[in-house]
Amino acid sequence: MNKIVGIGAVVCDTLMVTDGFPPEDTKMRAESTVQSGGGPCATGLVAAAKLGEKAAFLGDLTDDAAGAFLMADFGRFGVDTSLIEVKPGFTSFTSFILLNKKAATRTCIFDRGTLPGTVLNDAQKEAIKNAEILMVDGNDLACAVEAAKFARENGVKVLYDAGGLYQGIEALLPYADYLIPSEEFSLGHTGCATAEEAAKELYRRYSPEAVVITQGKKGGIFYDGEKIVSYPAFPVEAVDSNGAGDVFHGAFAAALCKGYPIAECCRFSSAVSALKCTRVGARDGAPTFEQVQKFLNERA
Amino acid sequence: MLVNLAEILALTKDKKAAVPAFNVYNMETVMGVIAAAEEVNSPVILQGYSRLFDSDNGYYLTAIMLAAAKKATVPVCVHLDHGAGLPEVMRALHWGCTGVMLDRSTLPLEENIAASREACELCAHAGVPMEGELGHIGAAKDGVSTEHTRTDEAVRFVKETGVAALAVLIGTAHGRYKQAPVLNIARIKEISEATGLPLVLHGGSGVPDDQIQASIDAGIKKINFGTDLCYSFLDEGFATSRELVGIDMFMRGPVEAVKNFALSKMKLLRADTIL
Repeated sequence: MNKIVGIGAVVCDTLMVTDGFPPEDTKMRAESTVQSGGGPCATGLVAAAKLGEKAAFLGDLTDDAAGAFLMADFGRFGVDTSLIEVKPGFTSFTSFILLNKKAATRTCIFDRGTLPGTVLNDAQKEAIKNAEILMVDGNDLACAVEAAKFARENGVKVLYDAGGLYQGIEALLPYADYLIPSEEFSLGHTGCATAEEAAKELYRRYSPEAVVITQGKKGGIFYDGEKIVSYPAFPVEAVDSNGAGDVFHGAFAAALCKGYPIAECCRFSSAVSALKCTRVGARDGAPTFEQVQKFLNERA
Repeated sequence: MLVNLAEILALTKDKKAAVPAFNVYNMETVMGVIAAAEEVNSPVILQGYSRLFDSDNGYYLTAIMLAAAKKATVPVCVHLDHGAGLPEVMRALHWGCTGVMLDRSTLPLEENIAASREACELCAHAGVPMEGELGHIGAAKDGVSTEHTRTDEAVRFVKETGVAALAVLIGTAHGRYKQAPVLNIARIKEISEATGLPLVLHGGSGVPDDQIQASIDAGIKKINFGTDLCYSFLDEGFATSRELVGIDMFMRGPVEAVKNFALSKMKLLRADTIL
């Protein structure tokens, strides 16, 4: 039985490292190329699986090359793929990312592909009912809203990784038990001037169990209706911060499954993000539970 | 079949009938109401009082109401009654209600409008229509207020909040009346025509039948019954033999009493002619 199930975007990223940015209408040699799976919730599920929790992705993939890669990549990291439906004839959500080493910039071109939104089947609904946590990220929105409603009616907790201010997310926000936005999202959505005010405003509007606002290198804060508490970002020598936010959410879901209180969930997830930043790759860089324990024990 | 508040009230369009809304508290009161609705083919609103949404009671009750609604052969709306604030409204959404009421009618008009508009917008995103209240409907024991909802304020309230239904103060109160109330039928008609919205009559228990029917003819589309449903259940419960130990056996009488009470109100509201 999967304790964590997720609905959201699954993206096939092609990352090319270059020493500079190519002028228009020229050719340029890349230093290295990596293909990797991405998407906030999808990578969060990978992080949760690596931390030892049973996690499954609910949604559709296509039968094109990127789709096959994404399916295999989930499998490689131990995410249950048995509930994924393969829809032939569509194109996958893909992105091309140019990493300019010289300027330390990242330029991304993405293509959402042609897959229509997921319509939950009976097996997927059953998986939600039997799970402890449903993770959503605001992508595949109509399906996410339906799933979140269904989860709440069945006493399953909904964790919302709110990153993108997509149109229509207002329908999803009321169903979050754990509302975990980026600072940018929280300020943009509420119009508040500080993360503290935004946390209180989001809590007042949507009555989740907790609002957690992630603030990157600064760590973050959480609010559970009583007081604002901050949690630390662990200082590490970062080599790749790509996916740090995604794994934070997956780790948070895993920590909830382990029964940690909110403050401990934040600290644990922050450690997972920090460890990820010390290693290359959003998914390859995500740590195991033992690695996180060791990291935290060293800093107790 | 589970429907939302706007859908169930729309069924009364061009009909001289209203949908009864019964305050339920447990599985047995839900069973009694649903049995009545199915027997006379009446749409019905099952609603839970706000206090229940401040504890786990609401979680369990909503699950029971939803299970009953989905299985029922008639349209059923699952509704929060007199939501005290956003936390109750949100819990109603979380637990699956298909209608909510926010009651900030004790606030000054401006503040009532602001609070109702905010809740209405949040609910609209979740696809759940909201009932608002203008003119505070107090308790019968405190005497019935003679200050009725003003038509101009009702028009403004409806326009600025986006509510799907409006509870108005036109001579009723909650609880048991000391004297039979006198409803302001002319005001109901005026507000109904000016707003074009389904109006809601709270404090339906104890209002004389002819006044109930006159209020429906004037534009009332939802009538709440709370107090008398409780009495039908409790009176029968107290009259039931203590020899009945199996609780399901003990509850047969009270369930039947609730059913009979609901049947009488469905007929009074001509709800059995809606479908």
